[in-house]
This record gives sequence, C-alpha cells and structure tokens, in this order.
Amino acid sequence: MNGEQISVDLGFAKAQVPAGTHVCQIFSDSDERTDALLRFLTRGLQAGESTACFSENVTEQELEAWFAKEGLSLAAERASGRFANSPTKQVYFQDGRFDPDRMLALLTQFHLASVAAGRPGARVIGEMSPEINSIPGGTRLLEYESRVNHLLQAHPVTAVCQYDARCFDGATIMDVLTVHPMMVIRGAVVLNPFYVAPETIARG
Amino acid sequence: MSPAPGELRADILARLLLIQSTAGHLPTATGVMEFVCRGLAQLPGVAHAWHSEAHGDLAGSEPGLERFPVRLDAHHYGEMVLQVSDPAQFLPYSPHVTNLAFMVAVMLEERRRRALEEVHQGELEQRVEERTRQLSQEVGDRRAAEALAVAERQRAEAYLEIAEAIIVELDEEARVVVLNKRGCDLLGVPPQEALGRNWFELAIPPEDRVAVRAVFERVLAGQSELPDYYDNLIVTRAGARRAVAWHNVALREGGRVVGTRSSGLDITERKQAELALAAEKERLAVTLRSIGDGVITTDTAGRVVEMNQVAEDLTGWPLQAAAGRPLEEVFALVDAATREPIRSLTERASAGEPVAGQRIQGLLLTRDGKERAVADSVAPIRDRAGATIGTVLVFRDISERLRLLEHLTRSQRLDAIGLLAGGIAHDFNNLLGGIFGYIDEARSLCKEGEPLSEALDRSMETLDRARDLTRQLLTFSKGGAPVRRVVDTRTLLERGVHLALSGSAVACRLDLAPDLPWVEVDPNQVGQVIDNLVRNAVEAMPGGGKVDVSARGLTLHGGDHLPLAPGRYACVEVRDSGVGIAPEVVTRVFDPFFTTKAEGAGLGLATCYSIVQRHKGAIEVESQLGRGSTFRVFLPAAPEGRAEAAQLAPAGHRGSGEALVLDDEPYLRATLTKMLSRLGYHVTAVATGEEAIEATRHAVAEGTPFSVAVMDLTIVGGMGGREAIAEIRRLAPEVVAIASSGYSTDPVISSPREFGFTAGIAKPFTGPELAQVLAHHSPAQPGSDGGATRR
Repeated sequence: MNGEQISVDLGFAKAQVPAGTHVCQIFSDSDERTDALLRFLTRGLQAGESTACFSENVTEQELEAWFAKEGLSLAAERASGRFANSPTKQVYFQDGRFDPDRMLALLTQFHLASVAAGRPGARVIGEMSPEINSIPGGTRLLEYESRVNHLLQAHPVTAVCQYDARCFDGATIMDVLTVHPMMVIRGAVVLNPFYVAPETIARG
Repeated sequence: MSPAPGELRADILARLLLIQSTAGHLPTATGVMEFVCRGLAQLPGVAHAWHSEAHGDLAGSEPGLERFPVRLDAHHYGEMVLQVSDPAQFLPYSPHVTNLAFMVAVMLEERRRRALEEVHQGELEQRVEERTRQLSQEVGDRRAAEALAVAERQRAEAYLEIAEAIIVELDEEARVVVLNKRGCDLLGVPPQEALGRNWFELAIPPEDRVAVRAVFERVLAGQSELPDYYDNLIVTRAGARRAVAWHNVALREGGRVVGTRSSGLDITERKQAELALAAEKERLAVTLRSIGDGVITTDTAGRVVEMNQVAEDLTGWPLQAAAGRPLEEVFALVDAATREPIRSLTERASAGEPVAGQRIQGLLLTRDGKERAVADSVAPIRDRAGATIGTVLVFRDISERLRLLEHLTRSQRLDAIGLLAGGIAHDFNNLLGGIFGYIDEARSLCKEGEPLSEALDRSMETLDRARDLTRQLLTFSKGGAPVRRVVDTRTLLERGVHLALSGSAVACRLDLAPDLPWVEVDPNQVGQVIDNLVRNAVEAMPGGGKVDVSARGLTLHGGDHLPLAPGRYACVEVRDSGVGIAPEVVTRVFDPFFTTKAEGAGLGLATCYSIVQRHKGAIEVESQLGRGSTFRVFLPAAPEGRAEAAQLAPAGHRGSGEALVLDDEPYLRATLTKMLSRLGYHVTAVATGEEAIEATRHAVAEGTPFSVAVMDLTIVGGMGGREAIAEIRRLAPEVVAIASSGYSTDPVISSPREFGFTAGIAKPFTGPELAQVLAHHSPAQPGSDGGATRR
C-alpha cells in the first residue's frame, strides 16, 4: 500500500468514501436495497473497477435493464471479467457451511486479480441471508465481518454489506452495526458510532 | 482522553440518534426493543439493558436499575430497564434515554395507529364494496322482478288458453263471463257464442240443473262448508255427456260476492275406469271367495291387506282383526321338526330374494292355538309399471295329504321288508309245523300230570312264541291277505286281552259297548294286534298301572281324518297311563324295526299296522309324554248277514269217513294223518298231486269218496294241491277241500273258494285249529263237542 488515499463513489451516497471502506446498509424496503445495489455496481464498472455482487434479490432482467440505462452491457462486462455475480448462498455457504477463512481468501484473491488486471479498484456488494443463523459456522458471522475490516487495510476492496431488518432480530442487527465502521443512514454514508475496531475486540 | 464524569460524549449521543434512526427498519415491536436495548447496553455506565412488559411507576424501586417507560398518552409499550453500574457515567445520558424511550413510543404508537387505520380503511373499503354489490344486486333484482311479473302475466294468459282444466267465471246471474279454450272445445261452442250465455242452459243437462244450480247458489252465498271438489255432468253441443270435477270459489269485489270462478277437469275416462275397477274388484273378490286355497295379500311392508274366507278359517283370524298386522303374526309358520319359526316367502320376497315357484311347508300356528300342516307359495303383486306393491300368499292345509303320504310310505316300507322276511319265515314255518305235530302227538300219548307232559306243554308254549314271530314276519310278506272269518269282536278282545295280561301284575278294565259289531277278520292276525297293543301298554307302565281297553261301534261318513272308507267299524281303544311317547318319534312308532325298548325287535307295532291295513282298517296313536298313550284300531264291521250266519256256526268238530292228505314232507303227512284220525277220519296220505287225483278217482270208484281233503298247495318238483284241486273237485264235487300252506300270505289261503277250495289254513297249525276249520265247513257229526251256539 502506498498510503495514498483513493476516494471512490459508492453510487448511492452523496459523498465519496475511501477505497477499502466497509459499509453496512440496514434496510426494510426492497426498493431501497435494489437501488443501492444497482447504483453501486454500475458506478464501479463505470470507474473501471473489478465489481462483484452476491445476492439472491436481483434478477438478470433488472441487471440488464439498469446496466443498459447506465450505458453498460451486462454481457460485455461479464466477458471482460470486470463483473461477476452469484447468489449469496452459493458464495457464502459453499458446501453447506459458512467458512470465514474461505471468504477472506476469496476477497483477497478478488483484490489481487483486480490489481493484476490493472484496474483502478475493486468493489463488492453482498446481502447476508438470514439462513446464517442456522447454517454450520453461522455463529462466526461477527468474527468474519470484523476480520474483513482488518483484511481491507491490506486489500482495499470497497465492500457494502446489506442486511434486511425484516429478516433478522433486533439484537443481531445491533451486533452487526458494531463490526461495520461506516453505515448508510437515509442515503448518507456516515461513521458508525457503534463500530468497535477489531483491535479493540481483540484486546477486549 | 476520557471525558470527565457528567460530561457528554458526542459519539454516544450519535449512537442514541443512530438507534432512533435505525430502529424504524425493524418490523416488530419486539425487534425494535431488542435492538434498542442492545444499543443502550453500550452506553457509558450501563452494564445491561432489557425490555420489560411492565408499565407501573417503579422507577428507583430497585437500586442500580433505571426504568424508562415507553409510553405515549394512555398507550404503554412496557419499559426499558437499564442496570447502571456507574451512575456518574450514565447520568448525563439519562434525559437522552428518556427522550429515546419517548421517540420509540411515538414510533410504535404511530405504527399501531397506522395498522388500525389500515384495518379501518380495509373494513370501510369492504363495506363500500359490499354495499355497492348490494345496490347492484337490488337494481338487478328489481329489473328481474319486473321482467318476471310481465312474464308471469303472459304465462298465466297462455296457461288459461292451453290449460287442461276448464276455467269458467259466472256473474251473479250465472252468465258466462270467462270461458277458456278448453271449456269452449269441450262444449263445442266458440267463445263469442258462450260469453254472456246462461251457464246452466249452455252446459248443464236439464235433469241436473236444479242440483247444480243449488251448488252455484251456495257458492254465491259464501258457504264455506262446500266440498273442495264437486262433480257433475255437462252436455256438449253434440249432445254428449261428460263428467267434470269442479273446484269453485266465490269472486268478490269490495267484500261482496259478484260471481263464481270454477276450474273443472274432464274426468269422464277416470269415472269409466273407476267403474271398471270396481267391477274388477268385485270379480276378484268373488274369485278369492271361491278359491279353495287360503289367500292373503300384503303391502310392501308385509302387513295384511286382504284375505279370503279360507284363509280366515285356516288361520283363525277374521280379516278385520288381521288387517294391518304383520303377516308373520297372522300366518305364523314353524318348522314341524324343530319348532323354529320359518322365514316366510313373503318376507324373503320383500327382501328382494327370488321366490317364484318355491313352496314352503311348515306348521301354521292358528289364532286359537291349533297347528295345521300347510304349504304356501308367494308371488309379488306389481303395478302396471312393474313396481312391486305387495305380495300375494297362497296356502293350503296339507295335513290330510301328509297323513296319506306317510301311510303310503310306511306301506311301501312294509312291503319291502315283507318280501325279504317272507322267504325265510316260510321255510322256518314249515319246520315249526313238523315240530308242532310231533310234540302234539307226543303230548296226546302222555297222561295228564306226568313230568313229560308238562315239559311238552312248555315246549308248545315256546313254539307258540316262535310261531308268533314267524307269523309277524309273514304278515309283512307279499300278498299276505288275512284268512278272514266272521268273528265276535267281544270274544276276540276278551281272549286276546286275557292272554296278553296273563302273568302280569297290571290290571285291566275292559269296556265293551253293546253296539260293538262283529268283524270279518283273520282272528289270528287281529289277535296278534290285540296282544301287541296290550303288551305294549303293560311295558309302558314298568311301575304297574291299569290298562283300559274299550270298544264300540262307529259309523264313518267319509271326510274324517282317517284313511277309511265310509261305513260301519269296530273301534278298539287300548289306553295306558305309562311313560308316553316323545312327540318327535310318535309318528315313527309304526315303522318296522323302530323301537324305544332295549330288547324290542321293533316289529310289534309295525305288524299291527300291517295287519290292520290289510283288513282295510286303520290304526292311530295319541300320546303325551309322561301321561300315557292311546292306540285306536278301526276294523270294518262284518256285513250283517254274514255275522248272523257266523253266530250260528258250530264251535267244535267230530268227523267220519274218508280223508285225503297231500303233503310232500313225510313228517307233515304223518302229523296230519294223526290229527285227522283223532277227529274220526280214515286217512289216505299222498306226496304229489298226481297221487292225490289218482287216490280220489279210486275212492270215488270204490263208492267211498273223500269227504275231507287237506292239501299242501306247493309240492317241490311236482303237482301240488293248487294244480290238482280242479280235477279232484271234478271227481268229488262235495269234498271239503282245505288248502294248507306255509305261506300264510298265499292268496289261495285267504280266498280259497276262488281257487276251488272250501277253506284255507296256514301252517303251522294244531289239531284243534284244524278241527275248528273243519267245524265251520263240514256238516256236524254226532258226538261233536260243539253245536250251534248263539252268543
């Protein structure tokens, strides 16, 4: 890392954030979710970044339409290797279990490939599935999210984690807040006052 | 640098704001509270935070707990409870937490109201929708009702025209106001001609006008007691008369009767059909009355509807008592053997089982407790459409037929047994004849009182029993007609009863009526009957008792329950007070080899039956278990003339002159020679028919013809008496020819005159028995021990 701060446009927030920011979006409106997701993806692609999406809640038709509206071709972006998407469960719960180490390695690999491809940045957006509460390894969610913060310092992938408040209990939502340094409130990305740095957790 | 106690931190305030902002995403109150409390637990000085449903004023009630009610106006959402570990650290944030709690309450209350409004809105929308639909329906209904009314009116007008009924309205003067097409057609007048005409002149036959007008007047008077329907004749323009059934109502205007409206149906064909039906019913009733069988009809529920006189007589139920009762009650049928109720054919037919052509036999239990053997058949009664509307049961009393059948069956059995027994008994009888003869001779050589004489007497008694047995067997033999003589029934009974009771401790009361007729019977066989019946009576009373024997004259006129021809009979009753016979076997006591006694051969009563039957008589039994039995024998009375002659016949015999004996058995020739010699005859004995003819020819030539000839009918390998008699009779017409045979059933023995003989005698016989026969057929000789006697 050269220490030079690169700002990126998330697409759905007014202000830019530093590359490698880990953002949490708590929502209870499906349109809010889709709008943020699509804007985030297209803005990344327009910036030439490696862009990935892990979600069950966006269809091929929505992607195609939005991409087209933004002057992009879904097929072309895929063919170029800049864009990839998969359902959450396929990525997060491979082999029927949640493995933070595998996911962190995946993120690392994603960043390294982006650098190797000479792209200016890398971004990923994913929506956590409520199945995490019942899948083997699911109890390691907070550990994973916390370690992401650490990883992003070395591999500055801009990451947005989407949580549907209708699918999780209130305590889990609050716990999730504690591991994301930034969060989205009413369309603005703000510092999360509940965030606890991994170092603090480790010390704690 | 840590802030000083009591100093607010911006990041903490930001957290409170963030909690407030983010909580709105959580859909449920529980989720909101969990989220908020989780966030509050991270405030400075707070160790733990939770939500409580309680909403009392408990603030400060427990040390270290801070309670923040979540409340808006009167609506409570519990409280947030914070366990404060460092009050100094927490204190600056307490008002903010209070504020947060209020904001959360506002949010939840807003949600509640929104939800309520949504519900109210939904209900309102639903009501509007419902009312809209109702209005739409009402409008549709009203339009449909109007259309319906128009259609009904049109339909009513059309009905009036096409109605099968005649519709006629008359005014107070009986003028026609309305007459529909059917009425016009029936009367044969066009509507314009009918309207305004007086109805009675137009349509009612003159002879009926007064009566019909009276009805019209009553309708006008509003009399309510008129029958619903009234029928009268109308006359058409062509003069035909039709029967019409009317329904009349008064027409009113403002409460006043202004006319009548009548609807009428042409019932001419129905009337004719009713008359035909009544005639048919009468014919059926006459037929039913004249049928010789009982007939009962039932409805589909199996209840009696109709029964004829025969059915009433046989069941004992008059129709008025039986009508409506279940058939099983009126026609109670049980199995003759088991006494179990028989499921009737009617019941089976009602259950849909095929019963056509089937007959059931059983005992009908009559209303007065009698039993009748009946056979019944049943057939369904169907209407014209083929539906079953009841059943008809036809039955007849078959008691007499069963008795005759039983009689026939028993006779056939007896014949079969007789065929077997006869052959054996004949040979045995011949042997007995020889033994009889020799013992008889030996006894005549002994002096009275000698031990040998007594032994011979006992031998004779034993032989008597042996002879009785063979006679019983021979009774069954084919062609065993009795050797009849006219005898005094009184003497026959006195002797028979005396002999049967000899040596018995049982007393006997003999009651013989003065009108007891003589009978023409085989005395031996009938004696056997009396002997068997009295012995049976004695054996039925092992503990002793009394036998009642009574006899009387009886005239039968036919139609009795007995298989007897009309005429005069001697009726003999033998009654005991013994063990009786079980009902289930009482009908079998006359069967051969049927016995209830351990040592019995089962031939006694069968023999009685066979003997009586061959005398053209009858025997019957009545018995009650434990109370005794009565056997009743009917024997035809002897014709008056023959009875008179018999009363004058000699009782004994002493002969003289020449006598011929024909028998191929040397010992029988010798015995007979001795017997006849003792009776005073000079005897010539031969072994064949040819020798007998030759001896007769010789005697006639010598001028000393045989006055008596005793001839065996059958000679093995040669001519017997049967073949020789014709020639002997030709040579010596006056000879008293006695046919003798071991076959007592030989027709020559029972009807000797038809074969040329004077009399017959069955082997074995004793000297006195031969003497008795000769006494009846030979002229009396001086020195005979009998004479004309009259009893």
